[in-house]
Amino acid sequence: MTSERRAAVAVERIDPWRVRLPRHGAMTTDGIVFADEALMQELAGDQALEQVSNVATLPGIVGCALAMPDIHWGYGFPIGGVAAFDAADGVISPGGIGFDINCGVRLLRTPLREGDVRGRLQELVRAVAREIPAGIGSRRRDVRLGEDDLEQAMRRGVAWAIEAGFGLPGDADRLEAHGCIEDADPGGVSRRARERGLHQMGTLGSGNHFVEIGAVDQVFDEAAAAAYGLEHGQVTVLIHTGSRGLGHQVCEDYIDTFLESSRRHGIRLVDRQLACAPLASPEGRRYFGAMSAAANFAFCNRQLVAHFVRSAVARVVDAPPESLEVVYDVAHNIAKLEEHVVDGVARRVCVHRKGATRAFPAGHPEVPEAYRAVGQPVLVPGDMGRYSFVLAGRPGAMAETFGSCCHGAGRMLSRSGAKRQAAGRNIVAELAAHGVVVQGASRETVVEEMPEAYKDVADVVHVVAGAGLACKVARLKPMGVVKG
Amino acid sequence: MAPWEILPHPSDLLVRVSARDRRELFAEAVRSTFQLCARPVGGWPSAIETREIAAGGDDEAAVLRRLLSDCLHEFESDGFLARDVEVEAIGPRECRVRLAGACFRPDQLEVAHVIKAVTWHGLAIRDERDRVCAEILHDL
Repeated sequence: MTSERRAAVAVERIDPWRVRLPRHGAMTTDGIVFADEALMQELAGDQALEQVSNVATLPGIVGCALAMPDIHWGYGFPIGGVAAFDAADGVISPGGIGFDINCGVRLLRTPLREGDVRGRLQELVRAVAREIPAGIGSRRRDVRLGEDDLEQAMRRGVAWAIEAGFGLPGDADRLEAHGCIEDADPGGVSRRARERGLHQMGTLGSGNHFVEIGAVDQVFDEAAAAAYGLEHGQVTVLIHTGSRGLGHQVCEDYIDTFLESSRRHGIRLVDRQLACAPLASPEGRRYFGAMSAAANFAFCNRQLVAHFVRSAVARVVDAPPESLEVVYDVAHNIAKLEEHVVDGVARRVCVHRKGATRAFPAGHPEVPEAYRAVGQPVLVPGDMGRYSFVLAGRPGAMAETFGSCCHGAGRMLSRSGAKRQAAGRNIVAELAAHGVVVQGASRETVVEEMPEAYKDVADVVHVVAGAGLACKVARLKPMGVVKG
Repeated sequence: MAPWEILPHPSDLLVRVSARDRRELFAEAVRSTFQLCARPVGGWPSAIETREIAAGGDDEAAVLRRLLSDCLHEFESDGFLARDVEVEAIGPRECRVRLAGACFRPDQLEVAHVIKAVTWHGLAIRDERDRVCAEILHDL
């Protein structure tokens, strides 16, 4: 982390959208970063590229170590990192998934038009903020989960939440994996992790998590937009949150275990945050089961947040809860067992996506039937001042990125840098002047998350579209934001 | 020389702690962690409680990470902030720290950073001339 450790990483430009990090040192494969020149410039001086190279040293990696155009310096893997490991002789690494397991995004569509809510935005944002606890240590007092509820949520995911009255029967049809990773094994989730999660289901948390009321302001692909039920001027709700303290604790618990496991299996780590274990080992399987259980908790968390958003919206405007329909729900911090064709051969691999979204194309059996003709919706939030995108997965993602795509804009300013730039400014008032009503759990969060802190997500989307990983379907502009 | 400072990082919180020796380094790292989390809006109450944390690990960096992680847990679960920190015992594989502080409700706190975890990324304790230093990356 010190300057002497920041060795420059050699890069070779392949085409306008791709850069290769040639194999060197302990790398067993190349790294590929999807980025244009402008995005590459923004990586100068930090360790994001070095982190791609580090991933390429892990045992059993299949294909290249990959990074999406929203890449930035993280811990272990870079944010925006994707890597697949052979299911039989590869590894699994909590540092390739992140602390916030199954942090992800859900999009709801409404029958409302922009004009229906514009005059009532303050009221709407306040109502949502009242319904969804946010900020540090936020917990719900109106949802009393018992140990058995938590167990069921971790094992069965959204099916449990719907049976418990949080949502509509059809919701699960339009979620990644139907809101349940079948490999979940709550038995690997520690007591402390359970205690942290018990009162946090249905809460937003903090940092970059949000509920955003927006409207479709551009449609790029009429057929896909129609399939997703989106049209110009329609009001939407975007929800971004994850597995809260439960997921963090699962990650924490297993990194310690995997450091010992790495030593025992003779795996040399260039960064201890890359601690890993063979997926086929007892501890590897145990983590995979616990991580999947935490992922199911996160799916339930977004399900409950969506449920309470529906209630809040229905109280303020003329839109009954059931009229807010799920478009899709994607995980962007997860590892999943998937089958991919590599060099012409079908292989079972464990795809790690850390700050990356699954982007399966048209025809893939895991894409919901309603969307199968156009491809899986890929939800890419931007910042709270500009816009977010809905994309559709393309065949290029299957060919090059194990069916993966970007997950957001990627930060451009550090949080302290954002605070410096915001000194003497009233960010909430500035956003209000641009028609965006913001309510944050704290002033600090709003400042840290101000629009200038992020890259323009359009630049990120431009690259994934140019590279053929996904195509643009619609753009959403924010109108009201509740920040964690 | 300030005992700790925030270094540039695009998404998380990178902190450099510096001290004369390891005992002081561990104490400053704990102080920095609590101070980076929050401060009590109305000051400290007269009733101060003490808590003890014993942390172990395979090496001193692992011990430091575990210690800070447990401090975060005290804050997250009870709203506990430490006013005074005393490292009672320290070795290459364990340490014991006594914290004197108080628990606060959310409305009694001004939250500075929402630290979610202490990462392993780049974590090492280094001797630099007459100082001992550590760089700690907190996940936000």
